[in-house]
Amino acid sequence: MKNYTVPAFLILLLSALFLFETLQSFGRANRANNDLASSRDEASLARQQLEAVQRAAAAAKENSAQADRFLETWMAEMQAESNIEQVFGRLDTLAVNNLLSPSGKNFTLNKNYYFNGRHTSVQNVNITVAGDYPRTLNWLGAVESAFPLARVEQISYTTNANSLALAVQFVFPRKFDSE
Amino acid sequence: MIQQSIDLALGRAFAPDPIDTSVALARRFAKRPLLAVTIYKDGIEAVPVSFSGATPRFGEAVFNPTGGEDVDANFLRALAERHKARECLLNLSTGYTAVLSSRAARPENDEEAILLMRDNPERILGEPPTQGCRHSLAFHPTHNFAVVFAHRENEINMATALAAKAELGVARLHCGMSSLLIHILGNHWSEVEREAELLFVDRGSLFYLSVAEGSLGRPLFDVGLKEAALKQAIAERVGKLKSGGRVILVNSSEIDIESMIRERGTDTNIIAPLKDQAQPALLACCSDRPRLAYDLYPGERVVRPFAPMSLRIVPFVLWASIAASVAVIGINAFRQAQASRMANGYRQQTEMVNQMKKHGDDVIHDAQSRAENASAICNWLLISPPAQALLVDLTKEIEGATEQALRDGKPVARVDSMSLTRQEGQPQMRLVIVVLGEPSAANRIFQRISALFGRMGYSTVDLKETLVPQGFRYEHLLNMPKP
Repeated sequence: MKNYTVPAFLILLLSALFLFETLQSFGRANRANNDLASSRDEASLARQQLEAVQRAAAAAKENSAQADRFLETWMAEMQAESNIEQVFGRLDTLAVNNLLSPSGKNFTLNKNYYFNGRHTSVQNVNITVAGDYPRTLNWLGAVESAFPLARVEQISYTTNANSLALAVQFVFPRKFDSE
Repeated sequence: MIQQSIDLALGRAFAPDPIDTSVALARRFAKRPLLAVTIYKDGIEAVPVSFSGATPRFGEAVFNPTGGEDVDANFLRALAERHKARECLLNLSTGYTAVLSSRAARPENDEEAILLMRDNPERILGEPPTQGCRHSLAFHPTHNFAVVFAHRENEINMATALAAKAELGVARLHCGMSSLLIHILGNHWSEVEREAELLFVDRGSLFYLSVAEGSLGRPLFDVGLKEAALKQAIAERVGKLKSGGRVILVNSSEIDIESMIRERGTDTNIIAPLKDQAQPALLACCSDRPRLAYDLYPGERVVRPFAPMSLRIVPFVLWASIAASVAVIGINAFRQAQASRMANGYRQQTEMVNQMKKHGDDVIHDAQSRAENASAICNWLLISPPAQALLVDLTKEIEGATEQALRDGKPVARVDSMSLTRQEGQPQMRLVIVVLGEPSAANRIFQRISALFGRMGYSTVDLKETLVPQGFRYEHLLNMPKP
């Protein structure tokens, strides 16, 4: 008996290790099952969310058709009006066509134009023309027709002894989407 | 330690070592063949032995006349190979002496007997052992008398050398007569009654002992006899048997001793307890448990320790736990792998779904962004109505007021300057007009302009009228009409 006491203890210890490992394997399997259940729930939740998003996206697409058509027109216009050289050239041409003499003109970039609840980037264009009052009105109408997005921010008529000067500040929006 | 652990784990530890003399032969060779070898003066006789429970079964005996150690060894080796035996039992039929002793001390138990006879035989024998001899003892069952057999070591060594040469392990080595005596005293004592004479005869020797309820007689023996001498010795001994007494006869020779006793006509009661046994001495050697230095070859070899059956649960627990662990771990590993594979599948699915969701979110965000842009442009256009039309209307009102004043013969006023300023990003504008002239004329113009704004839907936020040289300055803050 004495000869086998320690070996018996060692073997029982080994058996205990095997049983411990067996218990551990249950733990690992349970963790894997929990992981599986969690992954399955996540996948299910993601599918539900996807369905909701897809429905919302389809609705948004459908609803934005009108806005898209509207934008298609006006974004092209905004692109065209973003070139300041062309704008100046056109303003001069229209002034000359209306027999007005353009005197001073300049432009400034205003990044903090407050519109629609936030600061927007706009191009301020100042121009002064001199001539007859009716011609200035015609010119103004022609400019507003040529640049429908341009907002007349300021109009100032001043008269001298012999002539009438019209100083106008136009505001051209650069973009409307948020930064 | 490691070897013992392995033996215990494999269950080998519970099978006794075949050469472990402390374990009964029947147990050692329960599943192994054994070769019993009886060494006579003129040859050796080999018998295969198997065990059925505790009972030995003997096969066919093969006798080989002495032809030298090599010849004997070859004979034994060949026989052992034929019977697949690796161990042998050596039964010495010669080379012993026997004396009666009253000094021998009966040991407490068999283990003590073996150990003492190996390490300190004097304690058991009661006197120093005979030089060059080993001893075995047959005690009287009830009294402290013993027959002490002394076996010459050189004969023992020759026998073990023969076994070693034949590549056989020695499972037991003993003297047949000694074993027989122990067996008869131990198992057939009731046959002795008050008094009996024991007569043991084999093919070359004779042993005689008178036994009584409380005593043992002097042992008489003749060994290494040829057939004629044996016959003569038997005749002499038979002639000396007590008339009307009991004779316990064990005869394995060819001589019909019973007839010889009956021929005397002295009404001797013959008892032959092992009459049906072909090998009574070997039966005694194989049946008895090792005790009182029964084995003449004890403790000189390294034997594997023998685990008690109480530890039988240990390897069972080990293998059961291994089997259970392998099965359960295997199943759990399979479950784990399966679950991991499925979880990975779900994760990939989730990732794909999330990508699709992100795409959907992008679509929604893009649509919202476009809608916001469109709304912003729309708002921009709403707060930026063409100024020309307003100026034309203002001009018409001023002209109308002037024409009206001329028609009515009232004083007229003149617009000196006019400015229209829109509030930054707001649906508001500030009209500043400087009119030179009479207050009534200037006021008339301004009243018509105010009326115009009212008709167009503008609402007044603030109105200031201040004096300027030769006229008035009207500053009108207006909210643009709501769409």
